Parts: sequence; C-alpha cells; structure tokens
Amino acid sequence: MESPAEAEAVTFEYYVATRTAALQRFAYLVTRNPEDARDVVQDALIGLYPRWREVSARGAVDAYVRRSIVNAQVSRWRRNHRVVTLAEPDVLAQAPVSPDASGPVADHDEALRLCATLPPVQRAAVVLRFYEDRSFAEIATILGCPEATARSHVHRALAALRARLEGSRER
Amino acid sequence: MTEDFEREAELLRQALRHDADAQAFAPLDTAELLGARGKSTGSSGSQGREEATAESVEAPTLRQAQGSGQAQGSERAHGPRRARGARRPVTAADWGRGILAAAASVALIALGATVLPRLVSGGAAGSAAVPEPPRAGASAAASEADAQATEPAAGPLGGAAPAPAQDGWRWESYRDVMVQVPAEWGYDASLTSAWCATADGSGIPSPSSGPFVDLRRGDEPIPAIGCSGEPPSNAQAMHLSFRPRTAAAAEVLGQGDWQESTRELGAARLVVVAEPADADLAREILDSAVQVGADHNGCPAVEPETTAPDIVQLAPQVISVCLYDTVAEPQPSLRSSVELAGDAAAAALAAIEAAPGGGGPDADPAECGPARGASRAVLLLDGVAVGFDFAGCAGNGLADSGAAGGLRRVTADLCRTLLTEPVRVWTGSGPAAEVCLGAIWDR
Repeated sequence: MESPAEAEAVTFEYYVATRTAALQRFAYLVTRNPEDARDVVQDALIGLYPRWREVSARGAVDAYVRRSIVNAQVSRWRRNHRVVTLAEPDVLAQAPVSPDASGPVADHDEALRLCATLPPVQRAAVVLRFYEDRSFAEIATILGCPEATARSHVHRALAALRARLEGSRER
Repeated sequence: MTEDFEREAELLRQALRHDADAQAFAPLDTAELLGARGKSTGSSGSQGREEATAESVEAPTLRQAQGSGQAQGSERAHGPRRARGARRPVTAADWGRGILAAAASVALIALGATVLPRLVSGGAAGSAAVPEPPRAGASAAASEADAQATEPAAGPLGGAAPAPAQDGWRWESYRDVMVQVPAEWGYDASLTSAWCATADGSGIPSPSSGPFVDLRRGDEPIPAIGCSGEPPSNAQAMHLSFRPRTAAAAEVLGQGDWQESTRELGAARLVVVAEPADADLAREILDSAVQVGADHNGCPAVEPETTAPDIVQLAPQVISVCLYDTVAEPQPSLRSSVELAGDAAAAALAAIEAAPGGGGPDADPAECGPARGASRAVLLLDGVAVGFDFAGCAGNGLADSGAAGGLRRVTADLCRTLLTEPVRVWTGSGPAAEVCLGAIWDR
C-alpha cells in the first residue's frame, strides 16, 4: 500500500476499506462523539484523496490522517469554543456508568472524565500513547510538535488524573 | 513517563480501550465517500439528471450548455488534434483549499428532446462497406427501434464480422454497440462534476488539446463535490462518451456553446459533446453506431466463458484484450477493447512468459474487499478466450495451463502491456490491483 507506484483510486479505496474502522475509533476517543468521529475521518480522507500519491509515497498515510483528525478537532473546538467540561451531560452520557462511587469502574469513569476535559491536542496525545501505544517520537510526528511537548502533554494528563483520583477518594 | 504514574497509565489504557471497543465503527465506503458516478451534491442537479435520463430516450437528443453564450470559435473542435494526456482517475483535485464550495452542483438544464435528422455521410471512400446506421432519431419509429433493439445485429457471435470503418475513421466499442470516430481522435478522460478539483490546487482544469474518445465509461469514482458554475470553455474538447444506458444523464459541458448530443442504442448511451459548428460531425458519429454481438476486435458484448491454454505454446500473433465490467447489470458486459499486434503483441507475450506461475498476489477478502474485482479482462488468443483477473482480492492471475497452478502471477509488465488504451481500469481492491493499476497509471 505504500508503494509509490500505486494507482490513486485503487490504493485509496483499499486504505479506506481496511483502515477507517480503526481511524474512527481513534477519532472517537479524540472527539468524544461517534458522529463527530465519522465526520472528521471523512473530512480527513477527503483532504487526503488529492494528495494520496504524495502522502502514500512517503509512507505516512496513517500519520497524515491522524494529524488531520486532530487538526479538525482543534478547529472545531476553537470554532465552537467547545471546552468539554463535566457540566456537559451529553458528553458524560458516553462514559460508562459506574454502579457505585468506588472501585475500578469508578476509576475508569474518572479517567474518561479527565480525557473529556483535556484540550484536543493533549487528548490526542493521551489517546496515541495509551490507546495506540505509540512512542513519544511517533506522537510528536503525528501531532507535529517537539517530542518534549508530547511528553509534557501526557505527563500533565497523568498528573491530573492522579489528582482527580485522590480527590474523589477524599470526598 | 515516570514509573510513578504506572497505575494512572494503566487506568487510561483500560478506560480508553473499553470506551473505544464499545463503539461499533464500520469501515467507510469509498464510493459513498467520493460519490458514485453521476452523483450530484445538489438536489437540483440530481433532478436535472433524472430528467435528462427520462428525456433522452429518443435519439439523438441535444442539450446545450448553460453559459455566457460567448462563442469560443468553432475551430477548436475541428480537425485532428494532438490528444492530451489522460486525466487521472479522480479528476484531479484539491478539495481542501476551499475551491469547491458548496453550492455549485451541476446546473439544472432543461433538456430539449430535439430529434435531429439523420446525417448521410456520403462521398467517403469505402462508405459502402460501413454498416448502415440506424436512422437514429429520424422518426419516432427509428427511435423506438433503437430503444427496443436488444438482439445483436452483427459481429462474430452475432453473425457476420463487423465491416471495416470508413476511410479516415475507426471503430470504438462499448457494451453491445460499435461507433465510428475520426481516426485522428485521441483518448482522454472527460470532465466530471468535480472538474474544479485539480491536482495543482488551482481549481482550473488544464486546457484541452484536442478531440478524444472518453476513457471514462461510467463506473469510475468521482469525488462527491460540487464545483461552482461551468468549467472554462478551453478545458473542454469535442469528444465521444459511452455510458450505461441506465446511468444518470448529463455530461459536464463548459462555458460557451458546448452541446451534448445523445443517442441510446442497445445497452449503451452515446454522448457527443461538441460546439455548434461541429454538430454535423456529432451527428455523423452518432449515426454510425451499430449494435453488435462482438466488436471490431472480436470481443463479445457479454463476458464469454474462458479457458486456460498453454499460452506460450499457442504463440498467438494477435491478442485482443477485452475488458468487462463484472458488476454490470444484468450481466458482465464489455467496457472497452484493444487489439495488440506486431511489437505490442510480442511485448505482451514476453510479459506473459516472464510472469511467474502460481497466480496472485491475493489477500484475505475478509480484510480486503470483494474477492472478484469490478473489472476483468479476457484475452482472445487465436480465438481462445483466456481470463485475466487483477482487480479483486482473491483469485488473481492470468489463466495459463503452461504455468504452475494454471495461473500466472499479476505483474506490472503484464498489466502495462495488456491494458492499453482505450482499455482503462479505474478501480480495484487488493494487492494485485495495486500492482496493476500502479503500472497502468505510471505508464
């Protein structure tokens, strides 16, 4: 699929058929909304299509699409001033419901609630690190930032999660 | 990451995985994403196309471009011209720069079901040998005859071989129809509804360099975007397009006086886009159409049964390559064909002999796409039909009993030498298609 000799239409079709489910999962974790996930993946692919040859020749299709997804979400976020907070019930509704206020399920809830509060780029860094098990170098490439910044995004998210967990136990 | 946060990290891993896995995401569909042929982004455009279909039953019909009315000079479409390079599968595009805005959509144009008189192409040497064209559109009866014509009238499978084209002309074929065009015409891909999506991002399609036969045959992907207005007149050139008879109508014309003349015959719709000064030539082309059982290259209109001879031992002097739309309704039907002789045939035979045995490359259809591709070529080797599959996920290869496993592997050389214009493949799935289409489009 990465050969520069590929035809645009067929390889693009192949890529769409084989990769878009995974890309939507990534996009869902970044956008926190399944409809938005589909939309941003579609937008990313539409942007990719005319550049398919160039991007695929570089062997960087996934990184390109993921960055497009993150960029799109950043744009949406800025455009709509949509800082996702705990006050937004539609977002919270997507998190698994905890049967009680303690234990591992509650911790999972807390982790997802934290993710929902993160700005898109930081959220993407967390998703890339912990859902996709990417190295910081890969995360930096995908997000187009220095590796140190990628580390910082993830570190601060972990620190915030710890504070949340400790805070919830003290309550 | 410091070890201090191992627990939080693991928590995030589990939470994210659990959350993502709870969502059922199906793979997106390329056709839906890019838009099927003829799909319009605007409701008015869509309606316009439906109307065009309904009104173009009689043949030929004429549609005129909307536009400024500025005459662009009839000399553009006259006479032989150098064929421009074929446009790439996706009319080229840069959707991402805001060129394509929304609105657009193909304009709704009232179609006049203008019945044009039959043009008699008298005087040309050899014209007596040209099959008598149906009296297309000359009368309601003639139109009805076209509309009802279902039985092949000529061709190896339908009776006598097609007559040679008149001097200075050549045959082109699609489905069960053959039609003549001036021999000097080249091949190219017509403008589509996404004409403003240019590879260079300018939104302005490159100027045309001459009349051509359209390589698009109705099933290639077209981005589902709308372009505002009509393409510049100089991007258009006189051309003949083939479409399935059941396809949505309406070609992209261009600013100025470009007109669309249509004739439906057999399973095909023939469309000639021309300026008014070339209306006679357009009619002559359309009037030359005949319905056949097999075309001038011997290719049956419907995909034939195939076998697996020892090709190297057979050593054919001439190879006809027949490309079929395997998803055509109601049966796999001829999309285009080409005859290879002399050096071209020798090169193809060398590529066949060099292709390793065993077939493939294949992929697991569960992780790829349709096992069988939307296109399949059949080679006619001294009258023997041989299947060549290259566009699906599995079962790829050229049938050859002289090769290991009775199949030769799909190679770039095989595709490059066999699939030559006007045989053009636009889509496929899997590794064989990647090899094959890559070879074709990089040629």
